[in-house]
Order: sequence, then C-alpha cells, then structure tokens
Amino acid sequence: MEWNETADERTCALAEQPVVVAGKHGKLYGIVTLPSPHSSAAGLCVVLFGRNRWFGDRLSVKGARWLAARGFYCLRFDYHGYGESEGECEIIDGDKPYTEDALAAIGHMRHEFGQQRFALAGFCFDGRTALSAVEQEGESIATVVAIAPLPGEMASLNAHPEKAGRGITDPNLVVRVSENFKREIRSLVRWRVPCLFLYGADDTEYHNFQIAERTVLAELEPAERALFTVEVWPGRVHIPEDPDRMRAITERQLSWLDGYRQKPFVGAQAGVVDGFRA
Amino acid sequence: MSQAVLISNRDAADLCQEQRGYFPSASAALYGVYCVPQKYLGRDRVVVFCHASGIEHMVTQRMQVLASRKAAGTGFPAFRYDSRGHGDSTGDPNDLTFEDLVDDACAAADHAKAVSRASEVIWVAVRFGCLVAAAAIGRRNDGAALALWEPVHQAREYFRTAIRTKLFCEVAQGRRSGATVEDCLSELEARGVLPVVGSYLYGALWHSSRDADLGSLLATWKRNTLIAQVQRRPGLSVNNQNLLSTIEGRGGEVAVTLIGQEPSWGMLPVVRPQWVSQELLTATTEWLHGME
Repeated sequence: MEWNETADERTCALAEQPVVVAGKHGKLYGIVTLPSPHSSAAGLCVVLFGRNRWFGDRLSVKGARWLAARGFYCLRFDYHGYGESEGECEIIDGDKPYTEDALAAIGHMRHEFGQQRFALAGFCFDGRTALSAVEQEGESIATVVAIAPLPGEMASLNAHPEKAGRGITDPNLVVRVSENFKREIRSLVRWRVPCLFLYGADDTEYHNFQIAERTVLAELEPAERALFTVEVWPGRVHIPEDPDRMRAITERQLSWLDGYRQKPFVGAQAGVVDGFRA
Repeated sequence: MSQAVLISNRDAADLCQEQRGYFPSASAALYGVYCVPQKYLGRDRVVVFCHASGIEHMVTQRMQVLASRKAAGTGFPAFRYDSRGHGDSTGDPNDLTFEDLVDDACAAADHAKAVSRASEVIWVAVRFGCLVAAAAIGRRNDGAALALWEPVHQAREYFRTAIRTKLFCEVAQGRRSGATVEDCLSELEARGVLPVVGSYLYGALWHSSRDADLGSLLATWKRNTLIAQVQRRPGLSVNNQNLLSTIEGRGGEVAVTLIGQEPSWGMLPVVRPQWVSQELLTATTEWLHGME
C-alpha cells in the first residue's frame, strides 16, 4: 500500500467537511471525507471509530482518504470526552462501548448526507463500539471490522489468572465473554451482518475470544457461522505501539471494506437504492 | 478563585463560537479552529496554540482543545491548528522539516491575526511545539507572550528519549533486540525512517531539528512567559530553572507552575490515550488574565 498521500487522496482531503453531531453527552466533532468525483460511487459510508479521530499514526485519516478516493463516504469523529468533542474524558470500560456516540454518528450521516448503507470499523474498544451499534442499526449495516476487541471484562485474568488482584478471590468467576458481547453477536446474526474479527495468536484478547468461539459461535447454524470471518495472525495484533503492525492491520481493514463496495448495474430496480446492488 | 476555575469543559465550549476549517501554508491545507470569545478581554492579542509532535500530539490534543475554549470562554480569541502531516491537515510527515513546522506556525499566526484582527500573538506551546513556537517568534516581531507546557529544551535529547521509550516498550513486550539508541540513530540515518512508539521518526525532521535548542531560539526573548513544568519532581528542572533565570535576567517576567500529574508522554496508554489536567488549564487561564 502507498502510505504517502496520493494525488486523489489529497483531492479528497481538500474537500473534507468538519461536522458537528448532536450526541447524548454533548456535541461530537468529526470530519466527513466525501467520495472523489473521479471515482465510481461505492454506495457505502464507512464510519471509522477511534480515540481520538486520528488516534496513533493518523491511520484513520489515511484510511478515510484512501476509501474516499475509491468512492466511499467516510466519517471519523471524536467520542465524547475525546479530541474536540464535548463531555468528560473517562477511563474506558472495555465492556461498555460508546454505543450512543456511534448511533448519533450514523444518524448524522443518514440525515445530513443521505447515506443509507454503512460499514463500521474499529480497533479494540472501538471495535466493540462498532459491534454494539448493530443491535439498533443492523438493517443499514453492510459489514463490521473489529480488530482485537475484548469480548469480556478482564482479559489478563484468562491468560494469567495468577495476576488477579486482591479483590478477586476466584479468577474463574470473572466474566470472560460478557452478556453484552453475546448480545452483539446475536445482533450480527439477526441482521445477517458479515463481520471480520482480526486477532493475534498472542493477544490476550484472543484467549477470551476463543471461549466465545467454543461457545457462542459454535452454537450457530452453519449459515449463521459463515457470517463471521476470524483471522488470527502470528504474534500480536493488539499492539498500537508498533506502527508497522498497525499499518498492516489498517491495510487488511481497508481491503475488507473495499470488498463491500456496491456494484453499479444498468437500470434501477424497485427496492434497490440508487441503482446499486451488493 | 478565578472565573476560569468556575467554567467546566462543556460550558467553555458553549461560551465560545468555534470556526473550523482549513487555511493555506505553502502547498498544504492546514486544519484550524478559531475560538471566538463572546466578549473580548484579550485587547489586541490572539492566543495561538503550537502543538506537540508524534504520539505526544495525540496525548496533549485534548488539553489544547480545552485550553483554547477556556481562553475564548473567558475573553481571549484563540486559534489551534494542525501542522502539515499532523492531525486533520493534509500532507505527509515523512519529508517534513523543522522549517516546515515553523512555516506552518507562522501561517497559523498570520491566519489567527487576520480573523481576530489582533496585532500580537500569545503563543501557548506544547513539548516539541515549544521549539517550533520559539523559532517562529524569532522570525516575527509580534510575539506578546509565551506559555511553555513541559517544554522540550534540546531536540536531540527529545529524539533520543523517544528511541529509549521504544526500546523500553520492546523489552516490556519480550522483544529485546539488543539495539542501543546509537544503533537506532544509525538505522534512522541509513533508512530515513525509524519506527518509534505508535508512530515514526523521519530523517528529514531529525536532520533539520536535532540541533534546535530552546535557550538559543529564545536568545533575545524578554516578554511575559509561563513555564508550566509537568513532572513529578517537586522543584524546577535545571533546564527550566536556567531558562527562567535567563529571561528574568533580561528583564522579562516569568511565571512558573508545577504540575505533578504527568501523562505517560510517549507510551500510548490505550485505556486513556488523552491527558487532561484541570490544574494546567487553570494556571494557563489565570496567566492570561494576569497580563491584562
């Protein structure tokens, strides 16, 4: 992948629009990257979740412009309490994603930019936020990419029960696949939303996810189970400190999203939006 | 208690109108936000925030947002921006030089003065941005005051610390390479790029800024200055003390605030990646008001 800004991406960058989304915890500030006029419309709006909207090495900025150069609408925004958004910055709880922020962002793109079909993507907590939006927005979501999300509450206890704090007398009682995560899985199945889970074999988060694979996912019908693509890379994926690894993850995420562009066909059909079909 | 203390983060956003958009600097389009105060107390001055670099930009961005809103909420027009290759701006960081960063700071100051109709600039600079702001001040004659948030004094040491942090993180993850800081600098020289924590260090910035020294860049500075040291130590560091003495020796007025709550500057904490210090927000706002 070309990591330098290409001419098309620069064109998209110059046309970016700052937006303000009305959120439950105050105003959320974001940037909409409009599809390049030189590309064929992808028929999909990608929402890239992050803390803040250019977390780390600005890979979401690169990603949004890369996708826009290929015809996608993109939104990246700051959660409440982060970046420019209102609200208080709190230590996150991995099992309590910022669902209200996600729903507000999707609603904004629907009402202000006429978008009807969405793809959601996020890393770790942001992946859980993406997953959590499906329960209410499933009908409009084409796919979700969740990079190394923690499906439970206390990842380290599963891999290293000896590290349990004094307050925990029995590490076996700690929830490793939470009810919230199970509900998110059920929502994906209910709405038939394909999802890419990407983990590293050495990720602590993957230990928890393997429990989900053996339980929640194993109970699904084959057609339902086929909605879930689980990729496990050697080493670690949940390693934001490593910029090379983060680039590789971003590249995979973008290629997955690019695969969900709608293909134009001749003549509109009843019930099909804007002359596109999946 | 000052008025600033009474204003919460959310209230501050409501007390000023923000104008968000892009402005030109050389061939780049830079993202900038102008915070318009409801009533002007800043007389003929506009506050311009000069951001940190690399991962530290992300760690401290929230503080700049809150501080610019607090400044505007209490009467001072304020402007914050992202340099090229940073934040929401266009451009790539890989060929970015120190001169480019200073050009962008000057373009931001020009833009801020134009939209606010102010004639002087109060700089609030963060970490590596302190070197950039100091260099910008040296190019211009409109610097009214300078706040330094945990200033980087020597660029060379800043880069070496970033590399040490990277090596420390690798050891913590069980990936001890055996490389030294000198080995990494050799790799940077040879390849023109070096991965550090969460980001990259590029040869263009290293070569163009490694000799930058805050004391030298501020060699003639003698206007109002705030040194906000953000460290666990109870007293001023030697670098900060020397800077204070030098500016005071020229007749400049220097305020000092010691902030003990230190973020993990270059470590990329995932559970709380952005740092907020109400103490620093209050100290900076009170310093602004103290100049009136």
